[in-house]
Amino acid sequence: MKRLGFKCILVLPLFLSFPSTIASEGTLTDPIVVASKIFPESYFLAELISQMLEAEGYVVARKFGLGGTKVCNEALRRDEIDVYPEYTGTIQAVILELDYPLSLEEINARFKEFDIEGVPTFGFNNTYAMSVRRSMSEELNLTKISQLVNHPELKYGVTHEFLEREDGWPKLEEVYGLKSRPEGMQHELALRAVANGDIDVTDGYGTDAKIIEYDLVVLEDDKSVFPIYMAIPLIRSDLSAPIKKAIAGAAGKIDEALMIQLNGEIVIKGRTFASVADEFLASIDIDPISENVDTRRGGKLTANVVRHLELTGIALLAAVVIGLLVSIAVYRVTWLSRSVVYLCGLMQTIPSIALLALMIPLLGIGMKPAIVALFLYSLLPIVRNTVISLSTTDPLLVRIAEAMGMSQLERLRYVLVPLAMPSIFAGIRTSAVICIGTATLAAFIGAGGLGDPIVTGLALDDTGLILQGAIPAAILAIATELVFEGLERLLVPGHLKVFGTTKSNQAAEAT
Amino acid sequence: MNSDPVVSFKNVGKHFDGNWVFRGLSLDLPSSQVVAIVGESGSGKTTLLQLINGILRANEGSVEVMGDPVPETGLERFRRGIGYAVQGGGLFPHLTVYRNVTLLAQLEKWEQEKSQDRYSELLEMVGLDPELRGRYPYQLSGGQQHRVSLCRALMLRPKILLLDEPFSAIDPMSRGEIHRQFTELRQQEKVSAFLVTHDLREAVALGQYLVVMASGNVVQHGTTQNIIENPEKDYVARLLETYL
Repeated sequence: MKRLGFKCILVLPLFLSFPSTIASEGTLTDPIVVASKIFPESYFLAELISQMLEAEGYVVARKFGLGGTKVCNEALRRDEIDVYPEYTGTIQAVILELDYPLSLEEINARFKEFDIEGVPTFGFNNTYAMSVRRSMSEELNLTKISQLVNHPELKYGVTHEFLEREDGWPKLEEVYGLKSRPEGMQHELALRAVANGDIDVTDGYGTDAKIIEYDLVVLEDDKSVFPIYMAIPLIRSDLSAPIKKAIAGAAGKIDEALMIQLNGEIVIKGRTFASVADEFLASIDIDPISENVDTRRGGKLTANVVRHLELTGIALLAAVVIGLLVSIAVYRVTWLSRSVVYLCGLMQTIPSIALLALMIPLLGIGMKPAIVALFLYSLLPIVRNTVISLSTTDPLLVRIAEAMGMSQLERLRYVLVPLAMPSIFAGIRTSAVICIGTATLAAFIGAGGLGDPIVTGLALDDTGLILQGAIPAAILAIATELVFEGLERLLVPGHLKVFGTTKSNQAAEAT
Repeated sequence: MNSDPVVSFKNVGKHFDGNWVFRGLSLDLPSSQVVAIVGESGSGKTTLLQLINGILRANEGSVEVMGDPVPETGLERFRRGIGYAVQGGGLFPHLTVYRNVTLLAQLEKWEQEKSQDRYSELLEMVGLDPELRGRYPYQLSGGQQHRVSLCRALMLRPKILLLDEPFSAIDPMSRGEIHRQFTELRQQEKVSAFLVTHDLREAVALGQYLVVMASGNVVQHGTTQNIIENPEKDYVARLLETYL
């Protein structure tokens, strides 16, 4: 435990210095923080924003792959990030929970109290779209959804979600007067089925690169059934005018067709976000100071491992110290120790993602909330094992220690805790492994670590990238087991493990 | 031999959850002897013993040790003046022989050398090789564990030694040997010993003074000699006939 403590003293200053808010935005000490959600288009737009800022000489910190709309928006409100790409339809439906579309002015008016504003759109609408085979579109001269009503013989296959959503098939059927009955099917299968002619029409996202891959054509929503999902950068209002101007550098420059193509470069051809963004910016005469940041890699392995160890090390150390102190404080009072164990158990029943998300309103994003969540997660095995082993110490030994004239503290230090040590160690070991596993999820709230390549890999469906995080994490978990096994061997006399903590007397008597 | 009692029970009552073990018990026990408290299980003899070092507190009356009532506070200091050994030895399984014996000396901040000397002295007195120091209790025989347990109880040179069935788990072959060593040890250490046992033979062999208990009552107490010669009650007479 001493070694762990030493390590954590080393990393503590790092932890405390994050984030600094003294210096002005865009400098080395206080970079502009650009975030993205966890799907390729969001990564790309965030990379684009980053490069446009860098082209103007600003320093950018990339916090890509945050776990969804809530995480990004909460982080922006708390000034933990400065900008991320969002969609107007999401702002309307998910963030503001309204059922009518909003203009940029209306969005800005509603976000004013949070010091957030939108920047004019990149120029494309990534909404639901109905797509058909290119060959069929040309043959039947199909370009608009309203024309579908003239071809009742066409077969439809859509996702189950689209089939059920009020703003999906039911609305489409009603407004366009479509009579066909669609099959519910998985998205990828539906696309393939359209491509090879098993079905004729399917749903999808307007800028999905698969549209190119399967050579499909998107039909125009000429009666405006689908909500509008214009992509816009959402930013902190307090950014300076030049920074805002730089972020708006690509406004109106990307239409749906171009975005499909750009997505294709990334998802189908497997190019990096950075190179695709760089190439696009060159086409609109922006020349980024190319640092060749490869955002596909999810950072360097060593840096990820170090960050992972920081997250788990600090969380585990805190859990050990506080877990032991709490256990020692409560173990003698049955109802109290039970309540504490239940409470710790409750923490563990909260899914890790949810626990991380719950931390955001309290602590924002980054390492701090991740460490707190990991700490709460690590408590149960330590507290449970400690409380149980302390309260079930052989009563004879407890009485002897008392009768010998040992004080409460001396009894704990010389008798109870040493006897409980094997069990306490087992608890810490379990916690450590849980912590290392769960810490991979911390990437969702921007804490980095080995979860970074995993999250990016999931977004890109890139198994290699996922393994770059998963394999080191697994090795780390095994290494932790081994380290603790070694520590246990050093600190706990062997026979205690063989006979259990309280059985050695009886065992000896039998000899 | 000192004539003042070392332990006095004055009208003592003790109950557990309303079940009285005894009430109105008064008893003066002499110092510098082995006082054997003998009786069947459930007779209250262990309760009596644990009232002396305050592990149990009297519900009525008072227990006085060397003229003063068992203190309410500062029990640690008080207890360090009273050695305690129990059936099975009760050694701490995670500590070596040396650490078991010298634990209290360490807490009392004795110098290393002083602890060392006392340790060797005690182990030699009970016929153990001080080189057992590095062994853990599970590596010792039952008899060895009991001897180490006695040494631990005597480490701080207490004036009083409480023994709760300390020899009952030892095989009859080695019991005679350990009885002899105990008697020598007690005389050398000049400690007043209180020995709880269910074995009348052991009580008579070791005790100069007997307290015979039955279902919460002191049936008879007095010097061993006196009790053997003049059993006051049928119960005592029958007991003596059966066992001796």
